[in-house]
Amino acid sequence: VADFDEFYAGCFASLTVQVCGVTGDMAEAQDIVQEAFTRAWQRWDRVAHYDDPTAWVRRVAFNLATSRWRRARTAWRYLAAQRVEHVDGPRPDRVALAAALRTLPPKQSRALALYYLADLSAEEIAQECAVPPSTVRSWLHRGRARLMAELSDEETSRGSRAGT
Amino acid sequence: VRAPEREDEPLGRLYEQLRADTLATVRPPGAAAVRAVARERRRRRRQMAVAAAAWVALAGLALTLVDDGIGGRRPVDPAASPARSATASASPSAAPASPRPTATARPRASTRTGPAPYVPRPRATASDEPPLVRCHTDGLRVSLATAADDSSGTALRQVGLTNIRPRRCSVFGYPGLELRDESGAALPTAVTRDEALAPVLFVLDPGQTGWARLRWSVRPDADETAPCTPQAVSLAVTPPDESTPLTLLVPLQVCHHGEIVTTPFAP
Repeated sequence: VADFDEFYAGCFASLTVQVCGVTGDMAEAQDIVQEAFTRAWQRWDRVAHYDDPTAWVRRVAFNLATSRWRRARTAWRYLAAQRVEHVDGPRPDRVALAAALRTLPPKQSRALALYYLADLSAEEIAQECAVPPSTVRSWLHRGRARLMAELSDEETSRGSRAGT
Repeated sequence: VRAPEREDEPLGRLYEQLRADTLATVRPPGAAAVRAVARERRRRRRQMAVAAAAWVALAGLALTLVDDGIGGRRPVDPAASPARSATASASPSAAPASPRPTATARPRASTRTGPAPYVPRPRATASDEPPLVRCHTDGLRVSLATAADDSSGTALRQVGLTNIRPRRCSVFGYPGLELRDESGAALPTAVTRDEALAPVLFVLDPGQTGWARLRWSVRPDADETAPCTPQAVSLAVTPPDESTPLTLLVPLQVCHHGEIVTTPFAP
């Protein structure tokens, strides 16, 4: 029990950050990570003996994050939240990033999250996802390109909206 | 060695910002909540198993009784009373089984977390209680409280949203604000969100009020003359994520061309 508490306290925040890098939604990321930890606890006698229990929890969390139903729900919630814009405040870049992340294929957003938020190298990501490093590098490359394109789109559409 | 180069590129900076924002707002529900949910699931699974076993037993019994009835050894009517005794024997087997898991779970919980063994499940899991929904305009009342008018010419007010429905609901975000004149027409209003405070999701129990703090200037700007015109006679307040506003009838003098700074709603 004590080691689980320590494990939980030690990596809850960082895992939430990484899942947030996939879902773009903080509250949802937190729910997902909590659920992943619950599943870890349900088989803790096994998971505790893995070389890297964090990797197990992260994999579960990422799978939860990319399950189709959840993605649909998040997208829906996002649209619902966007429907009414009461205040003409500047939308922070981070919101744009979250929106852009939702348009990426899960493999790419996952690779980017592991690279930027878990500070893993392409080789380590390859190991974690059980694919060759070259595949990871192409995911990263394509994900980056697409994100940047989405973000600049966002910028221009926001500019034109402000103009009207 | 890797980190600095990642932060150098624009995407890296955005991710860094995402990390910082998330770390600032993350509220781990706690390891105790994890265990409570796991315990609850285990209990439900056992209950389901017991119920399923009872059903199988009942179905089996019913089949043998029907067989007996078809065999002609007994008329169908008396067969009903053994069936009733079958349900009676099935339910006591279900009854002692359900208190057992809770009895083992309780003492373990109390040694760790004290007198509250049950922690509410996180939002992601299915639950029996009605889902928590956003507070809608028609279930809210708006009020305005005067915090202070400090000597530097800043008006400080608090806008309150009170839940007037018998159900709890949630609030998350900033108010939408619009100054209006006598005819109800919109006056120039420039709302600035106070980014120093991150919005938090909180629950309004029936009758409870959540507050957002507003501030604006009552001193004319260089290109304005006192009193600042046009004078507003009402303030329309739109609750977060709602489209219809609530109106406060209150004369307000907002200088600096209607600039209002607002914090997110908080309990």
